[in-house]
Order: sequence, then C-alpha cells, then structure tokens
Amino acid sequence: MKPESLKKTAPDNKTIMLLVAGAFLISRIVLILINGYFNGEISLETFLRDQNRFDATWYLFTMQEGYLPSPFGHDTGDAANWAFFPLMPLVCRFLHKITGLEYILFVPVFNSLLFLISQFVIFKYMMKTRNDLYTAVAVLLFFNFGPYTFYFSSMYTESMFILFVSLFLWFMEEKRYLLMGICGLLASATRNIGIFLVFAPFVMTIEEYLKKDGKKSFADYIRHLFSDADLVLGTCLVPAGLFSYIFYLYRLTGDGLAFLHIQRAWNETDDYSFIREFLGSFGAIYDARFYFAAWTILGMLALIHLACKKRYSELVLCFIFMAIPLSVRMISIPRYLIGSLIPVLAWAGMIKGLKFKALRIPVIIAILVLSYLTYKAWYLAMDIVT
Amino acid sequence: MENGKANTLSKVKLIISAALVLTYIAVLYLALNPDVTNEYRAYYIDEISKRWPGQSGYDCVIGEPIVFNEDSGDLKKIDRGRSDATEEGVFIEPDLTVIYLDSVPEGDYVVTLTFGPSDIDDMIDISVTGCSFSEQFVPDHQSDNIVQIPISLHRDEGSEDNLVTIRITSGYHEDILLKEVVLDEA
Repeated sequence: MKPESLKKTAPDNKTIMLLVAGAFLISRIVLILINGYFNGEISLETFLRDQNRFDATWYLFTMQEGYLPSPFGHDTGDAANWAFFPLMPLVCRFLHKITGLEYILFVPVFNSLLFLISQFVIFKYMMKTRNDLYTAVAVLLFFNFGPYTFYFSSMYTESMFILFVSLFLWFMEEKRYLLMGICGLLASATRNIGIFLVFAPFVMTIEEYLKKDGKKSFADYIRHLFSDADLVLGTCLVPAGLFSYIFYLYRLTGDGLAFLHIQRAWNETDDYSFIREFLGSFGAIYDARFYFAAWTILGMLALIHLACKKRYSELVLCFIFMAIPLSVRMISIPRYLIGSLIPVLAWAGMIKGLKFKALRIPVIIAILVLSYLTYKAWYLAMDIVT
Repeated sequence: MENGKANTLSKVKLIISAALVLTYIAVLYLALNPDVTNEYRAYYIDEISKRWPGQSGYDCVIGEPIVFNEDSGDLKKIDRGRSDATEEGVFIEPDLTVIYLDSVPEGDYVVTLTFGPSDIDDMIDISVTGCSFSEQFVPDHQSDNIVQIPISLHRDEGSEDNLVTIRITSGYHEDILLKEVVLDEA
C-alpha cells in the first residue's frame, strides 16, 4: 500500500486498541526498568511508591481525610488541600473502600488505566479530525514516551483530566452533545480549568454559523445557537462540576472560591508578573526559569500551529489552558501543557509537518533524552519537574 | 405527533439549561459574598496581611493586656515588623510595624501601647483605626514609654474597618521593644 493511502485508511478499533495497549505496556515497562536502574533493583511496588511525589501527598491526604475547614499545611500553617479538586480523590476513596488496597499502590495503577483509555479516545479523535495515521501515532508516542509521561502513572489528576477532555472533544465532533456535557462536567470536577471547555462548543457554533449561506446577524446567530437543545444543555452541564465544588467549599469554609484564594500559600512572591518572569529568564539561561520559558514558547508555537490549521476550538482551549496557569506562575508549565492534551496534539502536527524531514530524527531523540532526564529529576524529587 | 414530542423534549432541555444557569448565578453570588473570619479575609481575599495568624489569631479581649513576650501566642497579631521576642517583650522595626486586633465591637476605646526604653532619638508615629490623627512620641532612654490613643469604632463591611489596625512608623531602623497593648473601654 502507498504511504498516501495509509494516511487516509483509518485503522479499525481492534488495531487501535492493539497499538495503544502496546505503546502503553512498553512505556510503563520502560519506566519500571529505569526506576529499577536508579534503585538498583527492579520492583513494581518500589516504582509505585516512588510515584508518590510533591502534590501526590496532598491528594493522598484528601483521599484519606477529605477537606478540612481551616488551613493547616506548610510551616506557615496557611496551606490547605482546597486547591486539589475532588473528583479523582473521591473516586479513589470509593475504590479503596471496595478493594481495601493501599492508596499508594493502587492509585497510580488506576490512573495508568485511565491514561490507557484516554489514549484510545485521543487516537480516534486524531483520526477523525486530522485523518492522518502518522500524526495520531505521533501523539500516542509522545504521550507514552515523551517528557512527563510518568505523571500519567502517578497520584495526580492528569490522566483523569485528559480522559475527560478527549471524550469531551470526541463527543463534540460526533455531535453527541449531552455526552459531551457530562464529560465536561467531570472534567470541571477534576481540575479548575475544566470549566473553560464551555468555550469549545461556542467557537464551533460560530464557525458553523459563519459557513452557513445567507445574511448574518447576532440575533440570527442566537437563534442558530438555541436551535439545538442538546447543544445548549450539554454546554450548560460543563460548569456543574466546578460549581458543585464551589458550593461545597462555601458550606465547609464560608468561601466558595477557597480553591483560588488558597493559592497564596504556594505563591513565592506576591508581585508575580508573567512578562517580567518570561523576559527575565532569557538573561539567565542556566536557571530553571529559562527551562520554563522554553516550554512556554513551545506552548505559543502550538497556538500558532492551531491557528494556521484553523482549528479554532482547540486554539481557544489551548490558549486558556496556558494562560490560566501562567497568570499565577511559570513553574509547572510543562506539566500543565502536556496534562491539558491540546498542545500535544499541536506538537505532533508540527513534527509531522516539518519541512526538512531529516529534522524529525534529532527532534525525536531530543524528546526521548528529555523524557529520561525529567524522569530522573522526578525520581530525585527535584522542583524542576513539579 | 413525533414533532410535538421532540419539541416538548427540546423545551424541557432548554428549561433545565436555564435552571442550571440560575443555579450557577446563585452559587456565584454566595462565592462572591464569603462568610469568613476577618483573619481569613485579610490574608486570603484582600491580601492585606502578610502572615497567616490562624482563624482567630487577631482576637482580643477588651481590658485584657496583650503581652508580646517570647512565650506569647499573641505574637501572631504582629503582621509586619516583628523581630526577636524576649521575656519582656518583642523587638519591632519601627519603620513599619503593623498589628491587627479583631473581635472589637462598635464603641469608644483607648488603645494603650507600652514600649521599653530606647535610644531612638527620632519621632515614632502611631496610627490606629478609628482615630483621625496619629500619635507621635520620642522614646525615653531610661523608662518605659506608654502611649494612649482614643479610638471610635463603627462596624462596616470591609475587613480594614472591622479589624483594628495599629501602624507604627519611624524614620529610624533601630528596633524598639514593644511590651504590651491593651484595649480598654473609654
């Protein structure tokens, strides 16, 4: 078969499942082996325990104790677990009650399974929207073997979040808007940025409306918007996850926005400015800030790529998913970018679209080297991968 | 018939959507009007305080001295300018020290601050919520310095007005010992 034909031939579900499962198993085994190399012995249990780093302890606390009504954490006593959204801890607490398994051991496995399922959905979505097998495979390989892949087998929310975002986008493409809304609701209960998924259907309807024949007006657009009750209800469902949590926090602490306000406990300086941090990082290329600035530039390149490809729904989501964390701090931006799905879709398209195909190999090697280095930094509990 | 059912179902979905939006507006209203302590509001919401004192960290009792020695739990009332604490009191940086007091009902009071002797030769300025002027003094080198400031408090919404804020400022950077603060009814 000619390569051009391969691009257009969408593999069947069984083939996709085999591809996804294969990439997943190989990548997790590689992580366990590298962990074994660092520890001097290969042990699944040690690997799972080593996944308990940084904010994982906050999630573990939330699973065990729930949310407390007053701040208590850090030496200053001003931190609380309100910033850590409830859906993942709630589900894991429920599973713990049923199975009796130790959290530290089963939560990384559970999140790995969510990650596996998300990869299937993402592959299907890529084939539907890009109709390009190579790009779909590139996304699969980036998520499984790229930098920060270890987060998808940890006690963080990245796996659950990309599963719900990918399902949201899939159902939106399939025009199954009620299911889209339910996935959006679950995403907004998993991470605070999930609520911004509401913008994707809006952008989609604007695009559809502008492509329609006939005279355009705002009133006519509103009529077009409300003509599909499933779309309206699906979009209105998205914020329900977040607003349920806001109401819960109001009842618990008196402050519905406690998940935002408690961020003060983690802010290194009260006068953070993204522009100042970003521009200042180029004067200190051996500093961690430069590393985060470089990732920010990759995020901006993803935005440009999506704009050029006229994927406006994804562009708007990518922008919001970048802007929200960058408005607070630059640290953790690599995890936020990869863990919000959309930038990775763009990067895969960029690698596939490289004019000089010979560049692909060095890029892939650089990604793999960075992947190893970030996992080592994670193992050593270095702040640069927090 | 089918069209009728579909129309009815669409209407039901739109009504549910409207109900959801109204619910979100109600929850947002609650979120924008938090029911929290003044300590929480000052630190997390208004971000006027620099340290988290605990939920009732600024509470004081009318007539009861707030002693600032090394064993005192009241040191957290000093939000800025706090230095080393001793058996007698706490050294504060007089160029800007801020003390917060809470749970003070509406009314007229006298705030009494007791400082230790100091070699500072410059004016120290003290302003307190509820007093339209600031009190100034040059510390005595030999004996304790007692400063009394009358205040009149009116209950209001913002935390700046509910908290009694004591600001101590001076052009000098040398520390002065603050021994205690008392809030008495006038």
